[in-house]
Amino acid sequence: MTVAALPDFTSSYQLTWPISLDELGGILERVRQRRLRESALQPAEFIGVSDSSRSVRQLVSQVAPSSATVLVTGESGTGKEVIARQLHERSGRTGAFVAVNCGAIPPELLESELFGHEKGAFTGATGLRKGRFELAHKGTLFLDEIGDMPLAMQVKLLRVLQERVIERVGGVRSIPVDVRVVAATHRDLEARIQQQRFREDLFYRLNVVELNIPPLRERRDDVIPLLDEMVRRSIARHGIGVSFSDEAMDMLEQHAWPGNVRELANLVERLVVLRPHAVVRLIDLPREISGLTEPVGAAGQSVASLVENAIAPSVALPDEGISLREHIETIERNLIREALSMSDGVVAKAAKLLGLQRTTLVEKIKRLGL
Amino acid sequence: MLIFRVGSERRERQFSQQGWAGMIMSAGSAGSVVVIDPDQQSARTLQQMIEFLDTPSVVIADEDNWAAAVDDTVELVFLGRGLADSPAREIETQLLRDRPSLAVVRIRDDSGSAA
Repeated sequence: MTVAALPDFTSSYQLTWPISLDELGGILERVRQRRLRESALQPAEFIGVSDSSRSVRQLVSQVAPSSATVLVTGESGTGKEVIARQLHERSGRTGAFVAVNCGAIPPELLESELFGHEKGAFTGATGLRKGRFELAHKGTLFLDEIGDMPLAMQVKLLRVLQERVIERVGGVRSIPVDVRVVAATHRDLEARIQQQRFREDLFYRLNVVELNIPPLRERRDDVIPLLDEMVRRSIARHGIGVSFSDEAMDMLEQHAWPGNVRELANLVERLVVLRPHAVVRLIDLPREISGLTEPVGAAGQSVASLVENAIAPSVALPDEGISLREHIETIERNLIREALSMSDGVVAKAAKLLGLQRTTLVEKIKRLGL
Repeated sequence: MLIFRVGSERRERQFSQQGWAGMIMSAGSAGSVVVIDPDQQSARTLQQMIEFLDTPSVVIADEDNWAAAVDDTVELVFLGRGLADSPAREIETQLLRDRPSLAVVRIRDDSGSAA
């Protein structure tokens, strides 16, 4: 099982006491794996050499210092939050950058999330709680997936944008807020207005400046610089890099990238885990990218091929030499991590995959700080 | 350092191996962990188990001071067996409302109910 395919650790989970070390190890491993996946290989800046990327960056520079509301549009995974953060960082505003995913919060909780609530406002409101608008005072509030906001909430948001005051749920006091709003959506808001699912007046209030991020397939020149940055970040964060053959690079440039930059980042994460320090060839790429019909590649690797690749990574000995002991430890660490990943963190299963006694593996895990 | 010259006739598609000796995979730990449990004995047992398997910073808290313990660096929260159902549910709700992506693990006694 690859890291990318590891089932996500659900936010709420139950264990029965007494807990075994295997169970606990599985939990810790899943949290660790999730962090690895979310390790922000996606660049913190909007990277690209294409004309459209340059235009986006120029517009960000022009708009950022103003307090104008910005609507960032673009397909999922294009980097809308990256743009929103850059708008904030270059705005000179002293408050925080606060992000809310309007599509991820249940409608009945959204008002409380945005505006906060007073103690006793509803069942479970055990204390006063500030909302995201108040938390973003003198800063920037990023309203992601604004197209998914319920209509009833759109009315309240419009009023806040017009009057610049909020009222907490259950409160009677109007609280002034100085917040710069950046909204984003992957939806066609004008179409949703036609469908009466989005308010036209709110659209015009948000769309003071529209910043459209083109999909990656329309800026193929950006693929390689993005890849370069992601590998840089991987080396900086995890100490692992990969390199690519010419054929693999050509194919990556030709791919349509329906998941955009996020898809590219996920691919790099997977390759870094499965082929650390190796040269990625065409056959190592997922079939949907390589176009090859045989079930080969990173996702379809057998344990045997993983072992072979780990033991004999395709790297040249650098001029300055290496520490063989540390290199062997790296291989050992990688194989143990992969075995734990494949066994959902169950040490006994991982030990079987590695041909070790469970106690030996536990000792190694502790010694290697895994 | 990576070498990549975009726009050159034959692009350098190679990432240099500089600093290879330093490229030791840092697996890291599960990060900061908070155990919320008024039962100090079971909390300490869990802390020791986590430290045996991992090397994170484990903080023990109770019903009164958990909010201060769960800061932005915390990735995992255990709601210990010493917490009764009602406060455990309340804490879990508040945690997930503030940090929807936080990993929260509820621990129950073998009997099926929290102690």
